[in-house]
Amino acid sequence: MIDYVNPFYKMSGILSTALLLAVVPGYHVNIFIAGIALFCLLGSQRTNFITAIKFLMPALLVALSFFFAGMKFYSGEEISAQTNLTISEASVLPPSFVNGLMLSTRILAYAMLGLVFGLTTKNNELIASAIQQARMKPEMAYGILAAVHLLPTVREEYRRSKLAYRVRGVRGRAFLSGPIFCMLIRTVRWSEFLAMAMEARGFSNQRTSYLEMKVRMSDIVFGLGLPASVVTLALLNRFL
Amino acid sequence: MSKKLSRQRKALALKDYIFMGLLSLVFGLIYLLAVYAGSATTAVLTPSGYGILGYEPFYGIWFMAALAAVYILRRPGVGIVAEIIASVIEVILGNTFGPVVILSAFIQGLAVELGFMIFRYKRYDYLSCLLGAVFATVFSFVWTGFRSGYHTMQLQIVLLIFVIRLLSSIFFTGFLTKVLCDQLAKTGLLNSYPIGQDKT
Repeated sequence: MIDYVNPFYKMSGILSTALLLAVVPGYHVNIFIAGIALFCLLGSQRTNFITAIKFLMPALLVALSFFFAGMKFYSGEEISAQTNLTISEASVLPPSFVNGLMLSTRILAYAMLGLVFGLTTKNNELIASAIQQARMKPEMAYGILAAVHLLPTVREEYRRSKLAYRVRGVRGRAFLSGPIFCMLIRTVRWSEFLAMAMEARGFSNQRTSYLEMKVRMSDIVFGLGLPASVVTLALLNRFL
Repeated sequence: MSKKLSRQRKALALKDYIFMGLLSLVFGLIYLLAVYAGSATTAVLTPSGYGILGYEPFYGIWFMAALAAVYILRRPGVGIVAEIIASVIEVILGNTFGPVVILSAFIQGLAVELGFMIFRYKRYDYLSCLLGAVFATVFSFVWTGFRSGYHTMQLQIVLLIFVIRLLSSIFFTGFLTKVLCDQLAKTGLLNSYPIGQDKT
């Protein structure tokens, strides 16, 4: 189901949820949102669990670093008031541990939400939705698509530049003044040639799109429902 | 109307967007190399509790695309556009944090722009570049602090994060990006861009 949500509404829902998570204290809501994100990933036909774990690894490392930092450098505020722990919980879990848990699960929730977007959205649908729903300038979208499609070429050129330096026996040269500088020079040239070719084919004008991104009720429900679930859970957590 | 003013009012063309896209890609490549180093540093420092500092020495690389775009194209708004293009490319290529990165990019692009906006886009020297770098540090610090709950941590570690990020930003964004762009301009390759036209 998540695969077919309009990318613009998916992005709006995820972004507003992430912003809300930053102001909602406690780790319960973070874990809940990470759980929903996991559920979405498992239900997607565009990705699988192994791919998700592979992409999640760097974020897990960051989350772990925040856990240890949150514990070690806890500022010492009264955590029970912030996280709405019950008295029994507060007495069992040390406040610094709870702080570490809160910061690390927040990072985890951000990453899971990001993965839901990244792994279940097709690039061309995202760009089409950005033009049609978010009113992005088509020229900007073409600039993005050109860069994305040139990535393998840029990588290959970087590898060749490094090799060329090595063949000439140039070793230990700062990488910014060597291969990267060569890359920048080639990039400027490519951008001029590519722009000329695209302008000649009418890409600088308004064009029709074969991919029409429609907005359905389910898109609006997702866009509003996800942040609403955070607010509801935070209120329940506070008053119950 | 002066040449600079008429340039500032002219809308961005397809050529400019493609240039910003490819520029973001090259700086993205530098950032990717830095991410490997940052991950290794984070992994080593995590058990001691200092893992949070792992990526900070490379943070300035994030702002390079925005500053390079403003410095070369010399028009209001290109810093924000370049950062947003860079972030959308990152999201498409699988950045773990997804749409949040786009909002971060907007904030960082705006901050870099401020360094030039203060001088009404008339000064393109070390002062404006360094100011852009400092603003980018302050804005990104406030934004990541809000997102990551810096207020729950001790002042010493929060200050350490800020100082390392500031030094990284001053070096990579304020200094290195300007040097790289000036070197590029010297090759004559940027003669059709405002940076090349201003030099001649």
